[in-house]
Amino acid sequence: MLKKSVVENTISAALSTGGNFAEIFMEDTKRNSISMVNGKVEKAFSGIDYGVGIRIFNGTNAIYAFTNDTSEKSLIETAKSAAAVIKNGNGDGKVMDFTKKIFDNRHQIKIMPETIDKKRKAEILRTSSNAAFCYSDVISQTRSSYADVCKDVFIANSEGLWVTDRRVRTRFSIEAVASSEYEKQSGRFSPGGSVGFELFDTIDVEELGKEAAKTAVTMLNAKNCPSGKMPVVIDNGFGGVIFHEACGHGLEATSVARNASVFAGKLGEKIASDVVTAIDDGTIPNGWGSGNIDDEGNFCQRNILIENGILKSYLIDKLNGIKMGMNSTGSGRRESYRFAPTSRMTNTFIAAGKSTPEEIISNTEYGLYAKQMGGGSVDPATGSFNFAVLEGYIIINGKICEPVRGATLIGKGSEILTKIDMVGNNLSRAQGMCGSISGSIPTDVGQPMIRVSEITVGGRGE
Amino acid sequence: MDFSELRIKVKQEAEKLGFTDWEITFSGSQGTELMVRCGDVDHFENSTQRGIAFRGNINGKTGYSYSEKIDDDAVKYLVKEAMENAELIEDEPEIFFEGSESYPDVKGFYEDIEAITPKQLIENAVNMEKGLLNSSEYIKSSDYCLCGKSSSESCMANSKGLNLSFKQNMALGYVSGIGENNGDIKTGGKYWYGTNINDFSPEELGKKAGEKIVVQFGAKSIPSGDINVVFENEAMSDLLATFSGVFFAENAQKGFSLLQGKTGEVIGSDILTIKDDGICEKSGYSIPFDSEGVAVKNKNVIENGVLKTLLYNIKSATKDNTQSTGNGFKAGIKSPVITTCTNFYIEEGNMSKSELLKTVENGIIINDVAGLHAGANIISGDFSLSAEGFLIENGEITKPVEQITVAGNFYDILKNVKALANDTKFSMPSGMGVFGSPSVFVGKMSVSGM
Repeated sequence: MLKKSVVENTISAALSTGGNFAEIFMEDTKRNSISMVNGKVEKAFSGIDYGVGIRIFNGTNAIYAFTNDTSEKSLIETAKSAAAVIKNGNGDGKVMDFTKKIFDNRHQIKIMPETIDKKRKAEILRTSSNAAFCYSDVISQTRSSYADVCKDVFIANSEGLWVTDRRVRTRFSIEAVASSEYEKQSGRFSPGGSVGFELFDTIDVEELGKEAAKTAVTMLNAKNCPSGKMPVVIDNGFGGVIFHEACGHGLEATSVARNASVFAGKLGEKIASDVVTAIDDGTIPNGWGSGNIDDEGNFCQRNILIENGILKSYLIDKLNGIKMGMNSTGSGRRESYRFAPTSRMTNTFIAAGKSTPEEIISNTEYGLYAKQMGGGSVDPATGSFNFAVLEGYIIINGKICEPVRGATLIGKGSEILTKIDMVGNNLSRAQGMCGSISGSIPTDVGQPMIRVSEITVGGRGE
Repeated sequence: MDFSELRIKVKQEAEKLGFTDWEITFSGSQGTELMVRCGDVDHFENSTQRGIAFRGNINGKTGYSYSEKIDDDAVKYLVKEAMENAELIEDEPEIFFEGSESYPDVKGFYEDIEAITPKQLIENAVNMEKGLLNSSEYIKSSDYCLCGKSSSESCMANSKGLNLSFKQNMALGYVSGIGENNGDIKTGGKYWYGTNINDFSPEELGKKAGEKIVVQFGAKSIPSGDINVVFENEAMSDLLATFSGVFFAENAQKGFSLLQGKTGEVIGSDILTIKDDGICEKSGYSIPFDSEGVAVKNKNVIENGVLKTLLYNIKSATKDNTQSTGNGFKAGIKSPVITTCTNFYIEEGNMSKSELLKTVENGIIINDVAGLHAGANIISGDFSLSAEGFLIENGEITKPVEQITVAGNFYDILKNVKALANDTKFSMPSGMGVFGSPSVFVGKMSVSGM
């Protein structure tokens, strides 16, 4: 993508004031998206994201600069102006000979999205939307969308790294809204992967439209959720957002390195109940959050974060690794060239346990069954989290009873981990976009069905 | 390639492929932003960003495209992709605007801001951190301590002869910290932004952030119940921002807002007035026109409880047979024109915050809500949010409160506004606009805690 001499000259300029590491990240990304409202294509968009980010380390401090002008003159100027911030660099960084990093692509694409006519993509949206409308008369709206992206990246650094990678992702989304005179409730699914158009060989968009409609209709007729502390059974798939928000962010070196996480300094300690094993795995073939290499050019890894309740590893990027005296775990990620990379999750999930879902429900006398979770957020310093339950039911005497709506789960991640007392055997993953300081990136959340002995449930019911 | 050359090339290519209308937008920005930790620069970022966006009508359909590469190939790509995208659309074509009769004279670009050096930004950030750390013995470290400045330029031209440009800049500071008292960890932050750097007192901002943190020590949950709730200015403007979409005509037309057909009806308390104004001295954010080239307007969205207007872009206005209110914005070159607010704020009352608390007597004041992107149903107006704040006892703020959720409905809140203070605070400008509110007493709400 860039000539060797341009890369060398840019890195030299970046190190000219004594920085000890410099890196170039370039991307050339083509995006396509189509969105449909109520069965009609409303927006279709395509575009090119293009630019270069230059990063310099001066000890543990980082300087970042980016530009869309990729001429040699502009790159050298950008590198020089960034380097000018360093006052007394110790100057041990130099440009090494580049060695091309070679690997087998673990995420083979069968059908490149660009080879498929846009009209066919739109028809998929229509099929799903129609299925949702057909499910029930109370479905009043649908929104569906299709998006594909093909991102070519090039990374080189002063340690001799030279690597290119192509990341292709495709995602589909359907949301159905059910309405009564006073209420609107919605259900949605958004499956995707590091795949091409073959995504649609693995999912049934008609069924997803129907399922989204079913959730919306169920919730429309639901009573308000009671509030208070109670046992909560969280189902598999997107239920893993609890771990992502409440624990995953706290295991990122971004917060651990500056002691802003409740999990800082706890490696080797028991932080969760015995039944909890948690993994971040960027190597899952064609996974939504997977890659061959991370955005610093390190190979993606399978990292065991928690094993039988013991904290085993953090998620570490290069810069925080220097601060912590630890190695990168292949977790340096960024949304685009506009962001310096930092430690992020890939596909993060609680590993399967031994209980069947039936055992978990039948062993719960009273509580909330959170079948589908919405999004949430967390303060990494305190671990306080909150997230919404999209589809919930009350459990009475070991049976799933009436649906309830408007529930919010709040608590602290570190406390929840110790209160997980049953883990199911039905692990599945679901796709999301995760926002943090290096932007919005695709990540998978996941878990089998789990039971938490007690969570504070916010709701409006009696 | 400069903008006038780009405009000519786009015009030629668009006409060649058969576009009846076209529009090209250039958007460029430059910024410097840095973070300080323990007196040292921890992160430093310089950015130069530019991109072009194309929109055009062909065979009665509208197609969109964008590119961050700006060259002859990109012009060809833009026009071809927009043509293919237009073929899919099953909606009315968009209307291209020839321009408003006049545009307000808005100063957006300040030489003083442009002249700020990286060295000054570093100094400011160091002083913010100093102010924070010196504010109390309980403050252990800064969390984010960030200063920056940015400038942006936008140019737009279309087949109707529109040819506009606007340049603006601003500076900002944000400081947050972590405090600890006997294992009790609390966080909090304060921000400043504006176009007059003399208004910015970095050390003072740090000190205020520190004060905000230490008052939270010993926070406890409270028993569940229906109690009087005051949303403090920042929390209320966050809530307003989250539900601002209910006032967009395009949402109402699609059934995503319950305000369809409610114009002229009472939807709020008679003391409630909500404005949207493109020019607002108090917020420090002003612009002369929206992304469709329509001049901004000052309008009452709610006036003494009555819904006066929804917010319109050209497309939604055409559907309702009315005029755009100057609220057709793009979040960037990658976005289509949607509706967004400019300066969207609740008009303040006459009483001070402490007078407002006296009228409440007993209840809670909420100064922070979390989970707005998940715990709020934009369509129904229902929300259930985790919240923090303070107890109000006998009209005075007493103990800090945490680990509670407050649940209610946005439409109900509009009706239940009982009193407004005179302490308006505006949010930082974002792609969604700027939101402002005073502290607002909203009557009784369902709060769940212990």
